[in-house]
Amino acid sequence: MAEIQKAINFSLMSFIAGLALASFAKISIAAYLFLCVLMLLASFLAFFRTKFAAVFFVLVFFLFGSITFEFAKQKSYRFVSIWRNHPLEFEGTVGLVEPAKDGFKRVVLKEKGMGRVVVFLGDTVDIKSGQILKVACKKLEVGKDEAGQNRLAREGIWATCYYPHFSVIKNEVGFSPRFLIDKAKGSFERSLSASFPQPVESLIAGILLGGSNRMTNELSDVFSRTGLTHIVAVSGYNVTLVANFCLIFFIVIGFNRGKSFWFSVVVIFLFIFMVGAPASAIRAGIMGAMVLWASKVGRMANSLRSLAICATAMLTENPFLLRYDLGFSLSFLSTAGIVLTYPLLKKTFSRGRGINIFTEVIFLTFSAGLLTYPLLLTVFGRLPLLAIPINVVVAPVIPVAMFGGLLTGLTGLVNASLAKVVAWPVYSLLQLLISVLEAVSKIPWVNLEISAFSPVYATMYYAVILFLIYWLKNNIDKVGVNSFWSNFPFIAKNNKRAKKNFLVNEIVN
Amino acid sequence: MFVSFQKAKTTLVAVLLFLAVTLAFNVFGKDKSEQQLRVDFLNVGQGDSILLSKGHFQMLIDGGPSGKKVLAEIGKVMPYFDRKIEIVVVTHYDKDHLSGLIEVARNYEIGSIIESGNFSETELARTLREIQVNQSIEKIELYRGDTIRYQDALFTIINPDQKSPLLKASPSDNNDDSLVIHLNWWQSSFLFSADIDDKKEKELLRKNLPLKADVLKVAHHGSKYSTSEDFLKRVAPRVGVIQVGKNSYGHPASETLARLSDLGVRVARNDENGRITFTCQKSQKECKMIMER
Repeated sequence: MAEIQKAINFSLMSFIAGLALASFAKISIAAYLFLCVLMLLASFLAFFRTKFAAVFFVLVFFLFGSITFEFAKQKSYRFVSIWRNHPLEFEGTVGLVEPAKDGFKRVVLKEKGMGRVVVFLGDTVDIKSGQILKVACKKLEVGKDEAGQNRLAREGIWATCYYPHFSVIKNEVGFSPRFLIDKAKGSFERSLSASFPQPVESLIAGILLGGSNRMTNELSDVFSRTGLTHIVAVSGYNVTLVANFCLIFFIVIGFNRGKSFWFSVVVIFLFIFMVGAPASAIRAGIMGAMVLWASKVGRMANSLRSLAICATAMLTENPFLLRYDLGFSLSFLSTAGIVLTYPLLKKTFSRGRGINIFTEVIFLTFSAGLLTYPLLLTVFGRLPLLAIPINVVVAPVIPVAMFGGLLTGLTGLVNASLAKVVAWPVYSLLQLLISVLEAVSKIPWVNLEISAFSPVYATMYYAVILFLIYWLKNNIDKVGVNSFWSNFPFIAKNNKRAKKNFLVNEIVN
Repeated sequence: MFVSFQKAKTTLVAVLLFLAVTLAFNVFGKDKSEQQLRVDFLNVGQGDSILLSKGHFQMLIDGGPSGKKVLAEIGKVMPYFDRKIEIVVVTHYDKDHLSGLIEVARNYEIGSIIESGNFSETELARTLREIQVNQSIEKIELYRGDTIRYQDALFTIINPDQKSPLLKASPSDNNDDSLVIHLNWWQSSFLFSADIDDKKEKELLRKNLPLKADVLKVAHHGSKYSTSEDFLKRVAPRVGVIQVGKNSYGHPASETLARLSDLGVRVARNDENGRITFTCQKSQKECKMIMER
């Protein structure tokens, strides 16, 4: 059984590795032929030594991974070449409508049989998904380069329309699920903005509905400098962390772990529904729910395989995610960080006595950040130094804000004046939070700039961290927590036996 | 993971105490006194937006270039339970004055909209008209000589002249037809000069209009074509407020800054000082100026 599990692990990893290689480097035909030769060789040798059968499967999955990406790229080329010669005037059905930066709305238009186009319209125009628009663009661009094209292709978008003129040619939007979600979201958002004054409204709408684009640039900068952008961004990091904060919150207010799990899952689904159920939020939600499940059944350490299966399935469906979707990578890394490190930290520091709520939040934030910060550092060249302590302080505020915001939004649908009263405690809390964060973000060193952090450093960091985790886990499993840490008297200062051993060694030496 | 009942009680008491303090702050802390006039030059970037408050009465002159920015500023200034702005003034239809008002109209109840009768067919102007019609907001056109009185505050319209040949004729360049308002309250006075240029200033100087003011909103973000020396001498302000943000027009112009400095006018700028607030008392000759930074 263990052999089969190992084979599955290796196959999944090699699929992801193959896809990663094809995403980041161009694989030549000769390299593919060489891979086929290796496969043939392995299959031949498998008749003599069964180990080579495993090698064969690893190579097959590696090939599958790369080919999956190549096929997706070919499809992208096909659509991009069609859109390159596409007329500048066309009709399309409105899909996702999101707030964008600098006073714009990002509208995804779908033309029948031609895929999607993204159009930026002024944020004062009233556009609903399901409407049919006639758009005349001054310029249609299919991505500045291949990376730009692929970044759009991960959303099935093939072109961007610039300087558009539009007219609504069909208003009845019908009763599609998207229409219902948008209608619910729109009414809820209006209710929120009628109850909460700014800038609190932009924060609470960000937490409940996703996206930092409602915030002013100044406030959004405050959140990024303090390492809190994730609480308003739709990413797995957000969902995983928020779901776990909710879990802890429900446990603290008196529910058992089982019930708290189900409540937190409901929170995740509500969140996905409220943000308009875009693919990114669904993916993040699946990963977040997986960590919760692992935490519930107490098999956190073994859920790495489930995470790999999840990631493989998502990458098969959309191979562009690995390289071109930062949200996906952050979801994956934060989930992997929690799955790998959190149980280890808990085991090490609890010594079977259980740990208090603050330590739990610290461990959770630390393990979610452990693998994500190097990626963030590589991409943005900045490291929010106080992110972990700030997150620990903010952690209890998030579920309270979510609950209060939800209650206010729903009350506002019935009575606006009552909603103002309901909103007031959360408003005060978030106003205080914003003021404190604004003050903290003014500290010059709070957001350290390390522009020289290259992908090579990140790779080295990941290699060292993974090795350390592997080594720690194996050694602790072999000898037990207490005897393992007794070798490190300074770390295990509360361990009487360790202290004794240390003193004995000192005397002997 | 053990939380004792005692701990929970302590937490509850702490939470209630926090709520009581913030409620007290919201109810008593923010000024609601009818005895005081407050004028906030909101920090909305490159654009104009001024909020005048007296008790529960608010008048918003322009909304700046962005809904997000103006809403964030208003949220910080207006009392929590007050979601009505009694009067919104659209000085003219330029984006840096009008854009933010769309979101204000969507998020706050508005009593009346005051305009100069200037006509514009831009997308923004159309959207504001739609909102005004849909929400049945009263629309008032005011011209030179008209006045608004709210209790002891007197607002006098200085510009535009109803007879202006430009009015309704050239929608593309309506800076000179923008609404200029003079406010007089006990010993305090303000002149909000929107985007008028020196030609218009000369015209205003020729007419016998009440231009003298303690605080001048420097016209057109400190453009070199506005705020002429003669105009400044007549207004004789103590403080000149420049509503300006990051821009490529070279606002405020060094010439304008020099003119202000030569006449001993203290300059306050939104880009450098953040939000600029004046609080005026009946008994005091000068309003107190508070700068955000």
